[in-house]
Amino acid sequence: MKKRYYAVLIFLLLNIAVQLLCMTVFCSYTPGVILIILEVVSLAVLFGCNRTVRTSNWFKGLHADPEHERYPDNIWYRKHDERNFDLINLGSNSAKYAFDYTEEPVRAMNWSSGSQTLIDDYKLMRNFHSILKERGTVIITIMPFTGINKQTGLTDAFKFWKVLDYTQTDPQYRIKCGLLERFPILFGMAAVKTIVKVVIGRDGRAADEADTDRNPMSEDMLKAHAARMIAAWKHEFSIDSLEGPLTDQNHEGREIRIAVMRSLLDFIEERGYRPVFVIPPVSSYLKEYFTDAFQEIYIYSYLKQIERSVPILDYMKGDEYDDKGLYFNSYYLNRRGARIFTHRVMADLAGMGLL
Amino acid sequence: MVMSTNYMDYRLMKEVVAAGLKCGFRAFDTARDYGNEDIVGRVLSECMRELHIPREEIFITTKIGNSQQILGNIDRQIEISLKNLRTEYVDLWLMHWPYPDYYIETYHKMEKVYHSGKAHAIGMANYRLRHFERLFDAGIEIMPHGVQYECHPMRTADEILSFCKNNNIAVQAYSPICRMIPEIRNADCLKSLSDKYHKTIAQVILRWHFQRGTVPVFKSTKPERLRENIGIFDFNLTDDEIREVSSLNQDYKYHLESASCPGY
Ligand SMILES: NC(=O)c1ccc[n+]([C@@H]2O[C@H](COP(=O)([O-])OP(=O)(O)OC[C@H]3O[C@@H](n4cnc5c(N)ncnc54)[C@H](OP(=O)(O)O)[C@@H]3O)[C@@H](O)[C@H]2O)c1
Repeated sequence: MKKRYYAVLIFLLLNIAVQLLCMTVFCSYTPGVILIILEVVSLAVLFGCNRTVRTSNWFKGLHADPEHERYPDNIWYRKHDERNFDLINLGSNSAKYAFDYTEEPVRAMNWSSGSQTLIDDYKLMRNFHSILKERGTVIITIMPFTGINKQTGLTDAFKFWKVLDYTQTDPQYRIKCGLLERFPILFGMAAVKTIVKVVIGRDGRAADEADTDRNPMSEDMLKAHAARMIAAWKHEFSIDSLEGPLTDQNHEGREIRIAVMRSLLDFIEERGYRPVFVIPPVSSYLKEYFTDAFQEIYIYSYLKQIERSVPILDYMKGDEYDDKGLYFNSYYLNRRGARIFTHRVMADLAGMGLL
Repeated sequence: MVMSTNYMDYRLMKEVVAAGLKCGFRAFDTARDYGNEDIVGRVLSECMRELHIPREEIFITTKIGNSQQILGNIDRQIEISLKNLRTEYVDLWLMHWPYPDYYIETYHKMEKVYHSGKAHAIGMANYRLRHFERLFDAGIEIMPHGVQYECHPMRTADEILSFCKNNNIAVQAYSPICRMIPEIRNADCLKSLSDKYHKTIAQVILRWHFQRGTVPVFKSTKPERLRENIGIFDFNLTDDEIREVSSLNQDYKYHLESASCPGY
């Protein structure tokens, strides 16, 4: 609040200075008054635009938890009385769509907000683990490329800016994130597009694609989708052959991921929680590409290199989840698939004494 | 018993603190992170003057926040707190959180401040046994005098309590009535004790604290509740009743530690 007063004060002083300057140069009030009117109008427009962007669905979509309902942060816990959760899961998009606890008799939270790296998982764990009961279970979702590192940037940092304590944000992005949060107009072209969309009424919330109990894609579409996913991953990680050895760059990335996973596991175990690796299923269209050789190079060798005895539940193997009707594309489970899958994971965890 | 002052503005705090002092409260809790340490100082000095209460009768607890631990200038931080609180010393100075990578060094710096007399007692809030172990392994010169943690019938924290008792450390219990959440308000055993002793549920819980040896640090913004909360010295719970109240324990923490202290 104080800062706002200072800003208004500086603004007023500057205007008085402008007025005095105009008086001295032009010996008249008029140019100064016109200038001030222009100034006030442009400021009002700018603030109006900024507010429009800030309240847009587009802007909300840049945040991992705009409604404070996904993570037990300071806002969440003051609204909710539930504590001592049995389980949480970490992970990226495939975890987001794989776990749905609504019909399970457990207190659980899905902490995946979509595209999210293992480093984000670790930060989320550091910031929110207290919601777990003593000896609570932590599902670490292992996806095809969890074992190699991914470059992240400002947008990734910004996603968690309002969720995590600021100390968890990479120092190089802290000021930028703070500024973008207050003045999203600084997003430039994207902000302008958003204003236009709001004005023409096209800033609606994106529909939840997963909210279905069937796969909307045809056979051909599924094949094409799987091929596109593979091409995108190959491009992202500079991979020529999915069955070839790791590139030097991915070897380095592997080292980073081993270190992060070990820190995460140490953190979990030091606090008395119980970690478990879960490899979610993928449709047969995508599984075609994830041969045994691929799985050994990208998944199993990684899990071995971590050198910790963490139970593994692998649902990518076998044909239990081959039915394309359980997915909404070639990779992610739809609502029905997620409920069936989650039920199975909960039963398996209970069988292992982890629930 | 300690009255809280957090997140109150001047007008409200003045009303609450004056009412509290009038009905017998003498201890007050604040922290740098509550953003109103200076208001606490202003209100306390005004109330002490108006009610003719000497400083020695007042017990002030304040805390160093995480960002001050990161800054590291702990000796400077006590000066700021003293200036805010308009006093020459604080009665109890706590480290608010065992902030990872900093808390051991912070404690060692607090020990130096203790020697200067600017804090009559030092300690910490929100420590688990693992934090004490690490700190003690690193070596301490002064045994903490006081520890503050969340404690109420749904979180009895017996391990920490017996650790503190064994080490002669005083315990302040924050959120002592667990914010009167529905599970507390509707607990049968509390309701029946309340009927038996013609006391409110809050009074039964505060008495439970008193008999267990934990000093409640409660918050209320309503003067009438202050009178209620201090009216706990005219009845006794039996040992069985103490155990019955303690049986509500489910390690329920209203305040989620890691949300305030990442890496906790
Ligand atoms: N060291 C730490 O990290 C830490 C963390 C959390 C809290 N604390 C300290 O502990 C203090 C208390 O904690 P808290 O506020 O979380 O919990 P609390 O004292 O257990 O509960 C406060 C709530 O209980 C209500 N209340 C008070 N007396 C009552 C009565 N006799 N009957 C019914 N309701 C009553 C108050 O409402 P009204 O205002 O309407 O009366 C308020 O909403 C804080 O203010 C703070 O100073 C320290």
